[in-house]
Amino acid sequence: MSTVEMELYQTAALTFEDLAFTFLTPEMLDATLEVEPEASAFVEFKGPISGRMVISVYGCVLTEIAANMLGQSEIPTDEEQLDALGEMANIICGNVLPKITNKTDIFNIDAPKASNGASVWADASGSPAAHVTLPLADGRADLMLYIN
Amino acid sequence: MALNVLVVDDSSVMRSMIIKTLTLCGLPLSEVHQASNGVEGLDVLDRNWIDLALVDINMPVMNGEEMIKKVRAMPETTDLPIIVVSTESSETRIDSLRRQGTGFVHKPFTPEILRETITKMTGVTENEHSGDGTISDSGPDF
Repeated sequence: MSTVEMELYQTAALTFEDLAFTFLTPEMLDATLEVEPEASAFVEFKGPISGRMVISVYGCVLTEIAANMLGQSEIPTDEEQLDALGEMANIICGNVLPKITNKTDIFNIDAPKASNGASVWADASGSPAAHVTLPLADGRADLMLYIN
Repeated sequence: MALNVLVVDDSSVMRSMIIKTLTLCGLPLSEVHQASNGVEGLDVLDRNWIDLALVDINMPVMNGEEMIKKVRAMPETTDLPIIVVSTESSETRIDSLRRQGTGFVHKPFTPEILRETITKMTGVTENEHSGDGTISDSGPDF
């Protein structure tokens, strides 16, 4: 794992824990390895480096993330679930960028875009500068950082 | 003193999280208004008396930085306590915001940090008389 991937992994794990009370598990469900993402979101950023960060969740984690963020037992609406994933992407990206650049650098992060499945980031081209997988109790989250 | 609060964030989930945290903190709340960008936030300020604004930075239409500049430029709101609640991590930008008299809470935040910052900015504590905690709307004011 590269330094950038290490920072992305640690930042994402902390954000899942602090924001959505969702913790990493040592074992990942095999059923979530080769399936279509449940949902994806990305944020684009501009600054000393520019690019986008994509998050895709697999299995059955989206509902739990949104419900935990909202602090409610009812199932959040589809719109709330995608909004939650987008905000997750926004926070992870905002926190990881200063760790891989300088603390004084200024970045502008666009509003997140999210959708069910993988369509939201299907146009992402090239190889990501970092790609990490977070094993979660009911699935997994993949994070990819693309730098232009 | 019960507070009229404005929460400005483009994420409805984050607005709900902030409002829930405010409620759980036991802070005396009167009306809680919501807006999803700086333009909507300024409109709420134009139409309502607000004691405290919690403002995100990265938002579409008008970002929080621009909104705060406009708030500070208006005599009626120039002294409004503002807390930036953002993922912003640039020391340069955070210093710039602090020079405009804002508090800063980094996302993700804990209820304790939010409560401490509100207490510091407003002088209001959870021990003071509580208002009715009316939420003006389940969504933005627009």
